[in-house]
Amino acid sequence: MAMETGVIRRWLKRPGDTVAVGEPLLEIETDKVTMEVEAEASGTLLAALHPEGATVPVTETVAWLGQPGETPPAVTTRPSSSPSPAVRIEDENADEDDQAATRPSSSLSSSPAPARAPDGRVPATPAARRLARERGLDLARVTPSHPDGALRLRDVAPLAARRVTPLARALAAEAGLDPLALDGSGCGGKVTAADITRAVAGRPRRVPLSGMRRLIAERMALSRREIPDATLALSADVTDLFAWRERRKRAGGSVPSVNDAVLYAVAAALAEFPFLNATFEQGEILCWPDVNLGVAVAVDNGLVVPVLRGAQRLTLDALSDLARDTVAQARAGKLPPDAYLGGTFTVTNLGMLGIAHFTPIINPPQTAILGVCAAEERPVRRGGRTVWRTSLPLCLTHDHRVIDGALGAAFLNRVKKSLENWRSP
Amino acid sequence: MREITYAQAIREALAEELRRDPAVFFMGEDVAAYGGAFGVSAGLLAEFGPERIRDTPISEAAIMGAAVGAAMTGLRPVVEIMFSDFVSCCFDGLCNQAAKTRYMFGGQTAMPLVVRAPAGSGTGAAGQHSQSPEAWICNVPGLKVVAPSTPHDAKGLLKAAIRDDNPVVFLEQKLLYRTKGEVPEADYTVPLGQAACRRDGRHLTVLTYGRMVARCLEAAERLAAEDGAEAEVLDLRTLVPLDREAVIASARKTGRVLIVHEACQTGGFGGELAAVVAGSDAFFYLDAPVRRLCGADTPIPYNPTLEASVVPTTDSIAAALRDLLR
Amino acid sequence: MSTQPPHTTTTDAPLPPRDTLLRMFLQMSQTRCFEETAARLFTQGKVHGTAHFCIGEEAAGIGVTAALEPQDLIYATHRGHGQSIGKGMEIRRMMAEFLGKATGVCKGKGGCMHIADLSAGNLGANGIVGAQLPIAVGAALSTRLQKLDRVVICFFGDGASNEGTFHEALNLASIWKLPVVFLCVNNQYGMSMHVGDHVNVPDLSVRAAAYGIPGWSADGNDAVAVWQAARRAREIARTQGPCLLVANTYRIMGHSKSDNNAYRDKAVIEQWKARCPIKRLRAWLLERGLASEQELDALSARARHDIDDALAFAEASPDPEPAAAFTDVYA
Repeated sequence: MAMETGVIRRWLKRPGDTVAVGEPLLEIETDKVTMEVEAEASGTLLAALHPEGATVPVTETVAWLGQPGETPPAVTTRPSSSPSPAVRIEDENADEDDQAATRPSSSLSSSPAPARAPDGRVPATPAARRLARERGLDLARVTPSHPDGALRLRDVAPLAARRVTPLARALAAEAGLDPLALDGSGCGGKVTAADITRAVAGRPRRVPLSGMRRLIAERMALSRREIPDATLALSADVTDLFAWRERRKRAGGSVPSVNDAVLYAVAAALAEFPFLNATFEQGEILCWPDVNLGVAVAVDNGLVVPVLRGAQRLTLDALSDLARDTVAQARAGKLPPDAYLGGTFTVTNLGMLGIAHFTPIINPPQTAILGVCAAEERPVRRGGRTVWRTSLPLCLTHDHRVIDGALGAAFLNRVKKSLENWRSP
Repeated sequence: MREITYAQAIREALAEELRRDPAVFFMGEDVAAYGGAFGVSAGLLAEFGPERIRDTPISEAAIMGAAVGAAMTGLRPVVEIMFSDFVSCCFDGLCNQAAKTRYMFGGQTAMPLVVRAPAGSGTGAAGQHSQSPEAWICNVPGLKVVAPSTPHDAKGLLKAAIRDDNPVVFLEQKLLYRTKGEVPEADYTVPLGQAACRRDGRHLTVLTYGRMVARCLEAAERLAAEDGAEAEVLDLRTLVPLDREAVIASARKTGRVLIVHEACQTGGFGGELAAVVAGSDAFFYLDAPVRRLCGADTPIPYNPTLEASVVPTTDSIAAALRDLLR
Repeated sequence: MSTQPPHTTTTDAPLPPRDTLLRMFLQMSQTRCFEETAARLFTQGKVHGTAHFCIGEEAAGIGVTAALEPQDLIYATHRGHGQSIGKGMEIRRMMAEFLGKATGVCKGKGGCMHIADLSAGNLGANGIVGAQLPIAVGAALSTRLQKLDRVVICFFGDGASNEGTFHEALNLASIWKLPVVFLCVNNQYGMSMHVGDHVNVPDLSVRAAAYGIPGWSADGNDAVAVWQAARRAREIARTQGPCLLVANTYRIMGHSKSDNNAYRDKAVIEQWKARCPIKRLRAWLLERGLASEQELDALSARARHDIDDALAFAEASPDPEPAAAFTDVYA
C-alpha cells in the first residue's frame, strides 16, 4: 500500500530559521518508519502549517520556504484535486546540484496551459528535455518561465527533484535500486514506496561470482566440454563393515567412518589400477606412482577438494585421522593453496544427504571420480531365504578416452570386494 | 615578470627561432629595412642579414609559392602577408599547394611554413585591409590556423608554429600589436590545438579568440558585477586543430553558449563552433539556443563610427550574455 | 606563329655521350609505351580519373632530364610522364599510382596528375597550371641558402606562361639571381587554345627580356638539340641566375583523355606524328653510327618489357586501405 498520510512528530526548524538544502526540516511517522524530511531548497522557513502530532495527507503543503520577510500565500488545508508538492519552493537557488540556478517559478499545475507548438509538441531546451526523459516527466504539464515559451532546465529541475518520496528513496537505497528508473504511481508520477516494493518483488537477486564459484564453474564446464565420460554404478554389501564399526564403537576410541573405509578400499584398488590413478594431459596418460586422493568437501557456497597424499601407504586409522583433520581444516579455510593440488583420483560422498544415485563430474585432468551414496537396508535372497543386508551404492564416472567400461567395472568390483570382505585392517 | 607588447613578443619569437634553427628564414613585403608594415620585424635585418630577412617584390603568389618550394627542400620559411586580406592574392599557393602537397604526394614531404598575416578592423583601413579571413582558411584541410590574443600566446604559439611541420596561418591582431602582457624571457612554446580558459564560470560559456577575448572578458566582469552571473570565457587560441574537448566540456558544464568573433557571421567559424557543440553530447545539456555574436555581413566601412558598429563590442557582448541568461 | 617550330643548330655545342643518348632513347620509348598503355587502360575502362599525355613531346622532357646532374631538382607539369621517367622515377610505382594502388609512388592518393618522387629529385607534377613556377623559385632559394651545387628545373607549358605566377616567379628569381631554369614546353596548346591565339609574340622566349634574363628556343622534337640547350641553361642557372628555355614541340594527343580534337585540323596532327622525336633520335643514332639497329631494337623491346612489368606489378598491387584516406593530411 502506498503511504497516504503521515504524522508530523516534530518540527526541527522554527519559522524564521535559515534552512540549507538537504537539512532535516521535520520528522514524520508513517505506518512503517519514522523519518526525517529534508529541505529541498535553501531559504528561510516562512511557515510551518501543521502542529506536531497532526496527521497530514501526503500531498498536503506542510511548510513554506522563501526569502526572509516574505509573506507565505494563503493556505488551503485540504489538498486540492490537482496535487501540489509537499514542500513549495520559493527560493533563488532551488537546485544547487543542477546548473539551472535561477528562478524556479514553475510548478506542476493544471493551469495555465504551457506553451505548445500547433502540433502539440512542447518547446523545450535539450537539457530540459533530457532531464524530463530521464525522470519520466511529462513536459506538457510544466509551465515555461522564459518569455520565448520554451521550457528551460530550471522549469523542470525542481519537479524532477521531488519525484521520489523520502520513504521510497530509503527503500530503494536498501534494495540497491535507482528509484528514478521506475515509473512512479504516485501523484504527478512520483515514485512511492509501493513502486519500490513492487519493483523489488519481481527482480532476481544478482549474485556476483566468488573466486571459488568461478573456479568451480570453469572446471566443471571444462570437464563436461572435454571429457567423454560415462558413469557405472553398483552396490557393495557393507553389512560386515557396519558390524565391524559397531564393534569398534563399543571398544571406544575414534572409529573410521564408512567414507574412510571407502577411501581405504579405493586407495588399495588404485594401486592395482594405474589408469584410474592417472591424469590425462595434452594427449598423454600420466599414471602416478602415489595415490593422491582428492576428497570433495562442501563448504559455504561451494566445494573444495583437498588431497590426501600417498593414501596407499597409510593404515586405515592413519588415513581416517588424516581425512578427518584435512576436511576440518578445509572447512575452516586453513589449508594452504598447495593442499588442493596434485590429486590423482577423487572421492565424493553425498550419502549423508540421502542420495541414492548420482553421476559425479570428473575433476580434470583426473581420469575418474567415485561417488558414494547413502547406505540402505535391502532384502537379499540368500540361501533360499530373504535377509536384510546393508547396501552401499557406488557410482564411478570415468574418462572414456582413458578407461573403457570393462576396466572401470573391474575397478569398481575391486572396491566392492574390499568393502564386502571387510577385515579389520 | 616583465611586460612587452604583442608586436615585441612576435619579434622575439621570430628572432629566437632564427637563432635556434638555421633552416628558418623570413620574407615578405617591406619586412627587412622597413621592418614590416606594422614594425613587427624591425631590427631583424641587422642581426640576421639580407639572406635570411628578405624583402620581396609585391608578389604574394611568388612569396607563397617560394615558401612552399623552400619548405619542400629543407627550409622552414616564415612569410609575412602584409594584410591578411591579401591572402586572396596567393590563395592557390596556400590552399592548393601548401595545404595539399603532402597529401597528394602520399606523405612524401612535410610542409613546415608559417604565414604571418595581420588581421582585423579598427585601423580605418576600410574594406580591403581590415578583414578577418579565418573562415576561408579553416575550410582547407592541411592548414593550421592560429589567432593569439595575448603577447604571451603570440610568442609561444608562433614558436610552436615555426617548429610545426605543417603550414600554419598565424593571424595576428593589428589592434593588439601595442597591447602589453607578461611574457617569460625563457624559451617556451604554447602547443597548437589547446584552448585557454580565461575566466571560470558556471552559468554560461563564451567561445572566442583573438581581439574579441579582451572584450568578452570585460563583458563577463560586467555581468558578474551587475547580474551575479558567471560567464566562462574560453580563448580558442588555435582554430585548426580545434580544442574540441575544451569547447564541449565547457558547453556541457554551463548549458549556455555564446560565440563571439569579429569575422562576418555567414559561413563564419562560429557556425563550426555551434555545430561542434550541437553535434556533441553537450547538446543534451544545452539550456538555451546557441547564440552567435559576429561581425556584420558587410565589408568593413571606412567611417570610424560605422567601422566600430559592424563588429561586436563590450556592450553588445554583455547584452548578448544577458539575453542568453533570461 | 607557324606550326613548324624554329630549328635550332646543334653543331657547335658538345653532343651527349653515347650512353646518355642510348638512355634517352630508352626513356623516350618507355614514356611512349607507358602512355600508350595508359590510354589503352582508359579505353578498356580499367582506370578511373584522367591523364594528360605527352606523346610526341618526349624529347622536350627527356632531352632536359638527361642533361641534369643527379642532385638537380625538377618540378614537372601535369603532362609530365616523360619528365618523371627521365628523372629516374621507378616506372612500376608510377604505373601503380596511375592505377590508384597502395604501392603507387603517392600511395594512390595523387594519381598521375600529381606524381612526385622527392627521393628521385622530382618535386612533383602540379595540377594547377603555373603554380609550380614560384614553388621552383622557393626550391632555388633553398638551394642558395643551403649553399648547394644544384639547379632547379621548372617545367611548364605555353599555357602557363600567361599565368600571373609566371611573371611573379621569373621576376623574383631574376632579382635574387637564383639557380632555376624555367623550361617551357611549348606544345602549342593551352587545352584547346592555340599558342598563336593566346600569346601575341612570335617566340615565347622573348618574354625573358622583360626580366633581364637569357631566353631562347630549341627544337623540342630534337632530343639532341634539347639536351644541348638544357646543358647550356643549367650552366647559366648555376653560375649566373635564371633563364628561360622554350622547347617548341606539338601535342599529338588531346588535352586529356576526354578530348575529341574538335578545335584543330587532323591533318596537322598527322604532320606532327611524322616528326616523331623517337624515330628522329633513332635515325640520328644510326646515321652517326652511334648504335646499331639491333641495339636500338633491343632498347625498344626493353622499354616494352619494362612497361608490361610495371603494369603487371600495378595490377597485382592492392588498393589502399580505406583508412589511408585519412592519413598524411598533417605531418
